[in-house]
Amino acid sequence: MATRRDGSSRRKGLTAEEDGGEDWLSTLPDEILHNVLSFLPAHEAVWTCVLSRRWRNLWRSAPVLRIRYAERWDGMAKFDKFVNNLLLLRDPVPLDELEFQTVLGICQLHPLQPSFRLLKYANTWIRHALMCNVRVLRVLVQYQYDLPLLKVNMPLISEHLKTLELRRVLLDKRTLDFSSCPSLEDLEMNSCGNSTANKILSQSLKRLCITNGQFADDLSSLPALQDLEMESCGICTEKVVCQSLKHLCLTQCHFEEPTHISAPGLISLQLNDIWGWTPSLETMPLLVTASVKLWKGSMGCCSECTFHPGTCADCDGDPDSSFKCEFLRDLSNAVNLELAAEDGMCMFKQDLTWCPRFSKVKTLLLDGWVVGHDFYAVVCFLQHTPILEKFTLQLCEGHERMVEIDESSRSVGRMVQFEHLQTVEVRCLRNDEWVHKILKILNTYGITPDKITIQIQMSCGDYI
Amino acid sequence: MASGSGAAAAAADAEEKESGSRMITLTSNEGKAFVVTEASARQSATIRSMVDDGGCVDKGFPLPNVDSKTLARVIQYSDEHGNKEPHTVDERAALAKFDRDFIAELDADKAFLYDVTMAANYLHIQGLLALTTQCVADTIKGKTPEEIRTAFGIEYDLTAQDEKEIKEEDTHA
Repeated sequence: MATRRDGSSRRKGLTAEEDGGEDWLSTLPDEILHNVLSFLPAHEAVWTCVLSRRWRNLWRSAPVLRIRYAERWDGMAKFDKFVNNLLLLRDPVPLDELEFQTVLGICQLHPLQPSFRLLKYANTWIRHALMCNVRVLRVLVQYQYDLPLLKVNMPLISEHLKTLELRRVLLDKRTLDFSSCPSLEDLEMNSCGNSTANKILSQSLKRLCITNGQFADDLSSLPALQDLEMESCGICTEKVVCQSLKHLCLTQCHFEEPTHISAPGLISLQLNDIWGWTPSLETMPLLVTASVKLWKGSMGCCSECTFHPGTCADCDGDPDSSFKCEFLRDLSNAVNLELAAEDGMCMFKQDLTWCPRFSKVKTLLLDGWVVGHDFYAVVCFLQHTPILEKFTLQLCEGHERMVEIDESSRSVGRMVQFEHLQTVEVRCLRNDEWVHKILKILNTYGITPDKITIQIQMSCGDYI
Repeated sequence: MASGSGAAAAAADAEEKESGSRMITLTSNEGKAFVVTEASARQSATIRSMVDDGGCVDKGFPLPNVDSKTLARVIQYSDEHGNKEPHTVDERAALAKFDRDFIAELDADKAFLYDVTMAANYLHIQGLLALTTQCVADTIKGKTPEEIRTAFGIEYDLTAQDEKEIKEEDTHA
């Protein structure tokens, strides 16, 4: 419980404060002021020592150090000296969190001699932090020009380390073996070069987030992993097998080879703007939310499609030859499903003749491109979603071609029963005659206008 | 949040809405009772551990260090954060806005900010404590020592010896 340092009654003092500026801040207990200092960049936190005697030593036992704005020091040597001093003068109390953001770049005094002195101390600082039982460690390197990554080449040993965030840091194989960090749960690596192409070992890791890197791990050495997020990564692994994985989110990733993903416990799956080979997914009975947006460069429907993109229609109707058919089937357990594709992809058209039954889907979002501008495909989708409650159709530029609908598809449509469907939302760039046509068609399938809303959006993909 | 005699009715109402959720009474140092949901009360690690240890849920929890005005404000925060869990982007944005408005109001009344900070620390409501201490830190950030002293009315009382030591430590960036 917090008590005031001098134990006096405070309310009275505050009235005085309102009248004439009593120093209420300094009367807060140490633990609260430590909290305040934790939000300041380290150089400002330290410099509170000149405020008054009350503040003289407070910073020394603050549990968080955020060393930021390295560029404000006149050269790397001075920055190094500051950080070394800081760690030396700090009280020997546990350090909860250490963050150091540095700029590897050109020393202002000697612009022609890039300074790499920083590299020498970074490992020392990390080791020091681990000795202070650090729980959260962030080593964030910014850079000017194309300088080499900061190298960390020692095994990390800590019972306390829970979160590790790295930017532009190169880890060697030994360092990626986190078996001596039994509490590590959260690992983020941004622009860490080839580090992530090696195998990551940890019995405890729950969340792995990789941005801008290479990924070649099969996750077999991460038995507790629940969340995997990757952005702007090249993925070159034949298989990813993870029983514990619950959430998988890949954004702007390039599958450099056909990848088989086996994650039977997956609850949410997001594949945003992925390209290269379309991955194959093993059955995911627990899947609740799936959102897939494929890029133009996606391959893998069949050999024909792979080598002659855009000729998808050739494998129309032949489920065995169609890779994407399986892809759709893989998603068929989802409750909330969003499917989108880049301009001109006509991604799923060929799958629809045997479209899997999405027996659990309650909300469905389809991008106009997914169905290749074929309204028949939309109807086909709707036919295979027996308990659908909310349907969203997103129409982008060029959706005019979509409503080329013929009599045969109308007759198919008449068989559709929309018992559960409560709302239909049509998102479009403008409410023109094409949209009216679509509404009319929806009407012929028994979807009354009161269930339909039209949302005008500024650009395609505002909602995805 | 409900108080005084209206509390029982409000409690019953809330209980009907969320079956299985207990109501907990918190009493300020002025003896005023506040009935809150357990989810709201659990925002406080202090109360959470007392509840989990099988403490006096029925009797309620007296809080001798917190006055009614402060407690009401603290409960406003824990209701918002405890009773609803944000799932969508919109819900998270709404909660962030609540926090912004909440702290902006406190920032305008430093005496009250002090009380709420002390209460958040005493009750171990981590999110609220972070919010208030961040607010103080934001006031300090980017200011020279002299400006900080002026902003908070801090009296300069360092001795020549202190000044000498500080110079020797050489921690000025």
